[in-house]
Amino acid sequence: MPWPLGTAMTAFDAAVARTPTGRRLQLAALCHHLRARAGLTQLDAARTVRPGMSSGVGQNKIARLERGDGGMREADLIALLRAYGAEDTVIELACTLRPRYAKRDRWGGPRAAYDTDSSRRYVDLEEDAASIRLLGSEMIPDLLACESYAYAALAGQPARLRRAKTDAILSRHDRVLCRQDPPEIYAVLSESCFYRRPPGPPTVLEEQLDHLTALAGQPNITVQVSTFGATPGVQDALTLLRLPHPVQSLDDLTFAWGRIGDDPIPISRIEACERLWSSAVRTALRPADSLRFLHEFKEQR
Amino acid sequence: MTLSGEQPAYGPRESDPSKPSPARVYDYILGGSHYYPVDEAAGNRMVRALPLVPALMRYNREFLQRVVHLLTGEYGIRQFIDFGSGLPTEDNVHEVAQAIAPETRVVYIDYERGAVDLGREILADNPHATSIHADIRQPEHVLADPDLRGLIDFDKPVGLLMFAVLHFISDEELPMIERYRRAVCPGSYLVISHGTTAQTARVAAQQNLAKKDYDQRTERTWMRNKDQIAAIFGDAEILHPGIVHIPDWRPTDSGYTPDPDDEARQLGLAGVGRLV
Ligand SMILES: C[S@@+](CC[C@H](N)C(=O)[O-])C[C@H]1O[C@@H](n2cnc3c(N)ncnc32)[C@H](O)[C@@H]1O
Repeated sequence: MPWPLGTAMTAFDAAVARTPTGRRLQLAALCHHLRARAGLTQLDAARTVRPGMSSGVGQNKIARLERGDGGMREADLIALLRAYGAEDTVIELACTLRPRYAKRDRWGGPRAAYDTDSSRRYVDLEEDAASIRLLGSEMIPDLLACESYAYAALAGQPARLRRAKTDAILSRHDRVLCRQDPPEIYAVLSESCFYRRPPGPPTVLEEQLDHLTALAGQPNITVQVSTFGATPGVQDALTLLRLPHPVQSLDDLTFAWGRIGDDPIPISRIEACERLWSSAVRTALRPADSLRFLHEFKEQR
Repeated sequence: MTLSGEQPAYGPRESDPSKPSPARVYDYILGGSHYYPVDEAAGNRMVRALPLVPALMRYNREFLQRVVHLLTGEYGIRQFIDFGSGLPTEDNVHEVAQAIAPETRVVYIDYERGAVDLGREILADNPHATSIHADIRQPEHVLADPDLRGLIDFDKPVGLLMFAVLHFISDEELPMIERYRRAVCPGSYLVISHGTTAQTARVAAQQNLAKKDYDQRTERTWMRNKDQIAAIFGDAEILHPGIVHIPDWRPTDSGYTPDPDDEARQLGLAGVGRLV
């Protein structure tokens, strides 16, 4: 759960991310916000902090910091934020967000199946998300899959790997769906997700329909079925995440990430993917009609 | 009157590509094509906070179509004034009404220049419909407009349509509606759809996040509850089923049941009153 930062932060109800990836991106958003508030360009900022250093190098460091893929020594970070006119409490918050040590065993156990940087980054973000929007065009997204469906969907992979990946998905369910303060989850699933039978026994799809109906009964989960076929332009599932801003009162709602299939969506394409989301929600069945669809679909089989 | 580059607080406006506008943000969320990048960004921020907002807007458009169909087809209304009509979009008032009664007069009003210019372009060949550039908070201007006077006969009933527009009007300004109600004859109708605060705390928190952003960066809004909306109808007879969540107002789908868990449904109210 995002934890409140004690008394020093009373001016801002801070919500520090659970995962290192979340904190790195929160730091990026915070630095970007403070620089914009100060009305400085990255180049201005670099010049102010390190008048001696080549400003190109300094600007590069600031750009990486604001993208969430570069660290900075604590003293440099403090100097930079001072130059932005940041309050002491905000500087303290930024230092809390700064990556310090990497815990080696974070990716042990079932989560070892996530073995690439980009998949780990995503799994971290999912764990920190305030809201998760899913657009499924062919398959039920992992987060909403029941165990037998997740396993069936991995057909074609060696048995041991298949089991390990299924367990990894179940561990995400624990950490995301079952956590104390769960995210808001909105899913629009194309009807082809249901017409396309996963390999394996016929009971798998039935179990999945029951699972989905049960999930949709939770207050934080909304499921809509889209009867317009696959969403144009998206073959793979689309996921859009919103993270809590580290300083909640500053939340400007631009703080969002996503991926298509397993690939992160570049910032330049996020807005276009959001447009797909809006059209999917607008044209999908109402939530109540979607549940009726799932029910009738199961009865017909 | 204008502070350095700012839009005047009252009166019709020019379209400003550097600031999101309600008409264009709405067009974006409805899947239209008349918006700037700032509107897309503002719409996306709203949808990030409230992911079902596009469904609410669809409910609103469907309500518009049901009501106009009913007023034209069943209640014999042949003149409409659409206040805050927005950018022309699919199945607009004149299309629904004139499909039933081709002689139906329709006047669209909006304070956003782009919406009115496009409306005029589309309506160029339509002798019974037009679009006027005015601020509905200035009823004397609106009611004196020669184009409006040319089309609307105030001795015959008029449908006063106020879809998703009154939540842009503050409590102090709202009494101006009275001026319109008095301008039309008995047997006219007043139609309202309006943003309201969600019932569940969870959705209300999300709504708050979206509203804060919208109010600061696009346009200020005032959500109203059932009683406040009933007050806008004054002494009009509110038709069955009263002031209800938008999709609950006389649904045409016989299988429709109100769904308390539908977040989009929670966010808007609608009603129709017959003026006496
Ligand atoms: C959310 S849109 C609704 C459009 C349309 N009525 C509908 O329901 O589909 C609100 C529209 O009201 C217009 N509007 C808001 N305040 C207005 C005012 N004071 N005078 C004229 N138009 C106004 C905006 O420009 C925008 O086009």
